[in-house]
Amino acid sequence: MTQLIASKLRFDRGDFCLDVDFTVSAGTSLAVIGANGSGKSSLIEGLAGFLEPSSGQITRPGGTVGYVPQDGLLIPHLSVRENVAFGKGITKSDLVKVIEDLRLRDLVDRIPGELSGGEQQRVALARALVRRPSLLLLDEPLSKVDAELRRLNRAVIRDWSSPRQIIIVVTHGPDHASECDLVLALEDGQAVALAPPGELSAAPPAPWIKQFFS
Amino acid sequence: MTPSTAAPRPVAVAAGLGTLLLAIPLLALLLDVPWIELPRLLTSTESLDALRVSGVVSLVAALLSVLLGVPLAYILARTDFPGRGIIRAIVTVPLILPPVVTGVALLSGFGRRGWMGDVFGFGLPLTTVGAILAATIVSMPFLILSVEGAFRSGDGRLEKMAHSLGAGPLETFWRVSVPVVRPSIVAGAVLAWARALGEFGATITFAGSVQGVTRTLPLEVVLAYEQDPERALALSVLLLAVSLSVLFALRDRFLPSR
Repeated sequence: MTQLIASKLRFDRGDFCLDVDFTVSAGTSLAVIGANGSGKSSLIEGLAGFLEPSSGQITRPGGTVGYVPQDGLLIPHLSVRENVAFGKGITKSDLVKVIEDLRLRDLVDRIPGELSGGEQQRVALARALVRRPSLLLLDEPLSKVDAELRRLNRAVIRDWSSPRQIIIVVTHGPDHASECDLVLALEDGQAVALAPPGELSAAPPAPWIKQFFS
Repeated sequence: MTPSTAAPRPVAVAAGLGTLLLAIPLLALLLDVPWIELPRLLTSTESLDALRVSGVVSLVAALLSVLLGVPLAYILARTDFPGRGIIRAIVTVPLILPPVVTGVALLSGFGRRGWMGDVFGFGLPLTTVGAILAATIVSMPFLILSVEGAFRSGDGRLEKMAHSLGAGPLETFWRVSVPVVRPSIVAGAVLAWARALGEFGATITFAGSVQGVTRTLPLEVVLAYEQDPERALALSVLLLAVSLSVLFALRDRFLPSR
């Protein structure tokens, strides 16, 4: 299986409910946009397996899943290097390369508590990329970094992606969404659009989507 | 910081009486202690034997509390299974049960005429192992309560992340779950050790009072008070000093600054 299929998925979280149903084929990048509380993070957490769907089914592409949560979720007592190398399936050369590419070399011996929010996000990104995941899930991975680093991180993500990799990214940045193949627009837990960014910005189905791209 | 307000007079009077009640015995003890004789009293054979037994018993009990109590705390905090409430009750009971009852229960379980004696033909009373067992049972709940709260405050997302990165359940437990709650394990171990050091009722009931084998400091204090009250005072002030050290070491837990 090389596709990601979210089939009639429903997540219940107290009085909030998220419903989605979509398929993403290999090699596709999908941006998820929407206001705060529209269900973007729940969707990513669900796809990562951190949140059990109350109904429906997720079929993930074979291979590993790389998940970069908004808060990084680094292991607090391990150094940056130990965090990136934690677990299985990492080659030494990839470890060296990802630390170099994301400019983490000076930080490798620090622990997460000694890093800024943006630095923690970069470490979490490195930890996901180094596993060369077939499905990369990014929850606003660039929210805490400045414009220059944002460009660097996006370039690194592109550089590390493989032709068949699926990337799902929650973003508030119109330029980031425009770089993706597809955009999923969420409103109050419902998908209001799933289309290429050019199509969405040319004929926005809702006022907030028009505003998002302007 | 809480704004300071004037307490109503009856409240202030009751609070003052409470403070006096707690302070008077300690003050009297400190005034009674024959300070100059202290080195001689603490280095008598009986005192040194009791110090050694207490040191071994309390440290091994604290160690056992950590080895068995941390997994128990983890199970109680993070898993759900039928009978969990019963295990929680069993774990909490030694906190409120009179220690003498714990001692009698130990005799039924591990005494020569108890289950263990029936099966193996020998029991643990009158042995150092027996004293360690008594001290462990009364002190382990302190560690479990401290660590369980810490395990409970984590939401399990870190563990899920470790799992998704390819770590197995045991590696996740050792490299993620346990280090995260390490401060609570240390605090719980110190509390358990202090409780084990002061243990009296279960020990004397179950393990007895054999010099150099089961006679710990508290047992020695009671015995000495009959024959040599000055030595009892000396040993008491030693235990008081240890308690104050524990309080100091854990001051952030017990004495929250305002």
